[in-house]
Amino acid sequence: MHYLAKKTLILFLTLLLVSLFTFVAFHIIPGDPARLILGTQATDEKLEMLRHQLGTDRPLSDQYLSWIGGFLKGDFGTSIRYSMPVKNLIGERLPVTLLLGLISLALILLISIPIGIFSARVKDTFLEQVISFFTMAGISTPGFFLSILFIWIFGLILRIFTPGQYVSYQTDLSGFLQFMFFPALAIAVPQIATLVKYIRASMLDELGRDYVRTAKGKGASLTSILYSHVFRNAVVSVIPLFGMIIGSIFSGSIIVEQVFGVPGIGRLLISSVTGRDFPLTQALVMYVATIIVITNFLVDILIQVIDPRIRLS
Amino acid sequence: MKKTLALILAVLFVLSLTGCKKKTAGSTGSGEFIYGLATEIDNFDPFVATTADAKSIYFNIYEGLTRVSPDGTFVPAVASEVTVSDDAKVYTFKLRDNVYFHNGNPVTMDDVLYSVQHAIDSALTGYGNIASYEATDSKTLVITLTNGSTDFIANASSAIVPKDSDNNGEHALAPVGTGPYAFSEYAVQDHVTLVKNDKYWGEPASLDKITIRFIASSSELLVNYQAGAINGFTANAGITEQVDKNASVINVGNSNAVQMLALNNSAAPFDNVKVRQAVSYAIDSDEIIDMVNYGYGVKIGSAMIPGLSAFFDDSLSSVYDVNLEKAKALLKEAGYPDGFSFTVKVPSVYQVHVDTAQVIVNQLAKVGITMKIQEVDWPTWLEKVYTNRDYEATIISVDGSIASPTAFLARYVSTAHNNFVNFNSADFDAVYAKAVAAVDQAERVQLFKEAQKVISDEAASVYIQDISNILVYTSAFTGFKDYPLYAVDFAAIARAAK
Amino acid sequence: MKSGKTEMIIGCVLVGIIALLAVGSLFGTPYDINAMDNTARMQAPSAAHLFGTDNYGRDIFSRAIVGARFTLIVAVSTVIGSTLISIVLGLISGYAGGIVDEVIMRVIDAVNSFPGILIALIIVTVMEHGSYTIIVALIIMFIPSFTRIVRTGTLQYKNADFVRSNRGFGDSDIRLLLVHILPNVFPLLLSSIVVGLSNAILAESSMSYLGLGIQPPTPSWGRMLYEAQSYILSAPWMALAPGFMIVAAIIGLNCIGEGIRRKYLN
Repeated sequence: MHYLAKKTLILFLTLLLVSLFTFVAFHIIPGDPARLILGTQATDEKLEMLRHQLGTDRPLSDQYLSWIGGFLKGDFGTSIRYSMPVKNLIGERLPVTLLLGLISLALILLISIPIGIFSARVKDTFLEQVISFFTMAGISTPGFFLSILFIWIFGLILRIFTPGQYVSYQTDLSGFLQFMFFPALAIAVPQIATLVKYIRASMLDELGRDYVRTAKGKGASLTSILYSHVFRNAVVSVIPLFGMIIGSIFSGSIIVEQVFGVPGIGRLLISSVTGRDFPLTQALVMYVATIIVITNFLVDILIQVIDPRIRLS
Repeated sequence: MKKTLALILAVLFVLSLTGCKKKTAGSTGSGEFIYGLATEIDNFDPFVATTADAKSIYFNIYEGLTRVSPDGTFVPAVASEVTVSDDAKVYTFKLRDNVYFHNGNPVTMDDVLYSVQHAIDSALTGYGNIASYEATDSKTLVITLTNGSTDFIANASSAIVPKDSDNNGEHALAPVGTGPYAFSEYAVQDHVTLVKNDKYWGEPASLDKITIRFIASSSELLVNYQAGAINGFTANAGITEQVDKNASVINVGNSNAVQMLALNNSAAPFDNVKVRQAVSYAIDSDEIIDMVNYGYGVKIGSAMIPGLSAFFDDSLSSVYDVNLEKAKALLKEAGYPDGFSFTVKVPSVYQVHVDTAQVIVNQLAKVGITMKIQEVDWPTWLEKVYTNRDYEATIISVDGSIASPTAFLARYVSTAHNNFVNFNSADFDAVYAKAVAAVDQAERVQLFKEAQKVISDEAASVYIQDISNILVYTSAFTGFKDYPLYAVDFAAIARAAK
Repeated sequence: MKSGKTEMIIGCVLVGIIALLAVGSLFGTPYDINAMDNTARMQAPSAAHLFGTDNYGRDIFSRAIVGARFTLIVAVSTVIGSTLISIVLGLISGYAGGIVDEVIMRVIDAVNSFPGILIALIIVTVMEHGSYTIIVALIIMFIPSFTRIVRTGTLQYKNADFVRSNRGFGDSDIRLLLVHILPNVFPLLLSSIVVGLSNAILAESSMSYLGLGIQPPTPSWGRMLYEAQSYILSAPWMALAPGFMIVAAIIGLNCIGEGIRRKYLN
């Protein structure tokens, strides 16, 4: 319990630091949202008027404190650029990014676990070489280059989907899935490759252990050994990777959303920074950080629960 | 093992099935036009959003007492008649009968008075010059200016909105105007929908619905266009080259902005006129137009757009034709026989300017000048370069708020708040003051031409071109009109006869 | 296979070829990398232009090998910079423990959960986007993971018998850290450093792709990919050449990393 309390405290501390970073960053980088809205034709008095209206003429520390105050009450403020509540803006996009993340995660699990097990089974054969070649290629291909390749091959040559023509999940779910499959795959491939490698290694590790030999000696089939003991232990050893994988899915989605034109959190984040939309950026950064921090937190606890032998300091 | 594999295959198969379902490309109603736009319009308040892109869209939603016509003159709109006194100080507007807002209410004098006051409060261009305004009867508005100005007819094109409609900044997201199209829907970072205004006083729009889709990159615009997901878009030259010309109409017009390599006249070495002239002689505008814009651009030599043909002096375009010997000689005279090195801050959002910079790097290298490119994002550019004038050189297209020579030349007055090149010439200030005060049209034209000549002689900056505005749309539509101001007139678009 | 020899060979060959091309580009390229020619726009790969030409008629092969140079400079500097800083931070954090450790680790955590793209955007805007500003941004992004490795290693060795006995001999803390702990921690870092190199190449390309990297007209792989995007339909080779160079470099580095890991850690 003491451990949990300490972890939770650290979680909040980290988030506070992250929000402070964003604040300091906005304090430092040049750019005035009022001038951005008014463009080059702006006169000084008009600028001042708009700054006052937007509340950006207040000292930044003031803006930060009122933001923190609101945030704790669940009020994320109003976007400067879109004159709408930040909550609505994020609310509309959150499902898109979460679905993208979920589809990626599903693809990662569905593809990597069987292939990982399979590659352990075909150890020292030609097939293993083939798999390890693809794993290496997968780990080494950046998500945005994969995105470009997918757009080119599946979008422009094979015409399986129309690049850039995002379909809302609310109007047409199958159209949405059809479109999202490729960005999700672009995010998933490097993670699949990483996971296959780890699963294979930990399977082989487990297969070399005494209990497997004993089981074999007793006449159990390889398949049943694989599933009854080895698989479970191998999965446990892979769980710590999950924090990293979920982190990568979300950071990967930022750039992949940009390339595919998916109206999710990633695109909003980039445009909020280029629009110097402080409340919106702050909320989005908190969102990304929270996901990463909480995932790591859960993974730590999960490891503890599954295998109490692992001591966490 | 086999089961798992089968399961995966099944899932992939289902996914690929949904993937293969053919979409009917361009499944648009007969009365809809889908327009792709690279910059997002996120604010529809005509008293706030004064950028060219925002104006180009709300041109369809709002109207002023006057509105611009394709030939660049201003014609009555919400007003039916405009009379201007000889000294251009007193403007009398007669309100048109049967003009309705999109909310169904008729336009009354109260609305007009509110809109004028709101424009004054919002410090819109030209409204600071109003001495007084009054309604002499329910249909007649008289506006008196402090200083006579023929430009006010253009200023009067600012939006007429319903009375008390801006208490909560609601224009920004729910604009109500009198234009041929009414605002219907806005989805952030996705699209805006306009629907036909059936009660429009003038020629009604031909299409029922206009959807403006925000598509961030030019390559996505092209792909969407080729897939039939959009019917038309404004393209850059490189993209235009890739369009199927048989099924498309390529409408080339002027963008009515002056693309320039702006030199900070207060920063060494550009405080030396010889250096500025040398740079001008070294830069080959023709090559830039050719290389970056595939020929889609009009060469210029001073700070005036060709679109304002009466005021544009074409002879200035060839003053600084490439002459490397002359450039080197001038550099020597200025004390830089071996050239020098400087940094150009280019706004990274404008690929065309970044590309232009790359061509200029090569051109300047021939006379020993090293130009380093530094990309900055747009907010940084606005603050550092435009506002604080903390730069050596930059590349930008300068547009005008109204189709008037003052909109392009006023910024060169030494004390002007937007004189971001820090141009300082007593000659120019004198000629410009005379030109603005001139009432006689011929004299006015002559004086504005002289003002441009001063800018050219002094090589205030390097003037490159008016980059063409290329509108690409499928041959299924017709009727696009070019305006000397940035405006996309959706009301004129119609289905092409088969 | 067990010793990781095959991986080492594949990796060294790939990285060697790319490094050779990058160094070779110092002595000249088949074509001037900035020379534009509007009569030779978007030509498909041929004997004259191995990888074809781009939208300005520039030779893509020449640009790609010069791009290799700049990409590698950025990647190597990033890894060296972040390794040095991480060693200092990790040693201090692990050795001192207590409040110092807490503070360092919390900041590291926060940086780690901060979107990398945002870090780059901020650094690039604040530091007046020079060609190598991106290195600073990448160093900051890389510090957290390296520091964690050093810290864990330090924790492991700080109470090891040989360290204790040397402490008993009156060795100063700094001496203990540098002479006794660091040499043991370093092998742990080694394979991470190689993987870090490939991550740096990836990150540099992603940043350049968003316009935050090396400044034009200097080519880098990410930048070339970014510029190619508008022409993916008419001239796909513009994207393929730099894209596959990135993949080849990363495969090479990952193979070397794998080789090192197998040789030293197993």
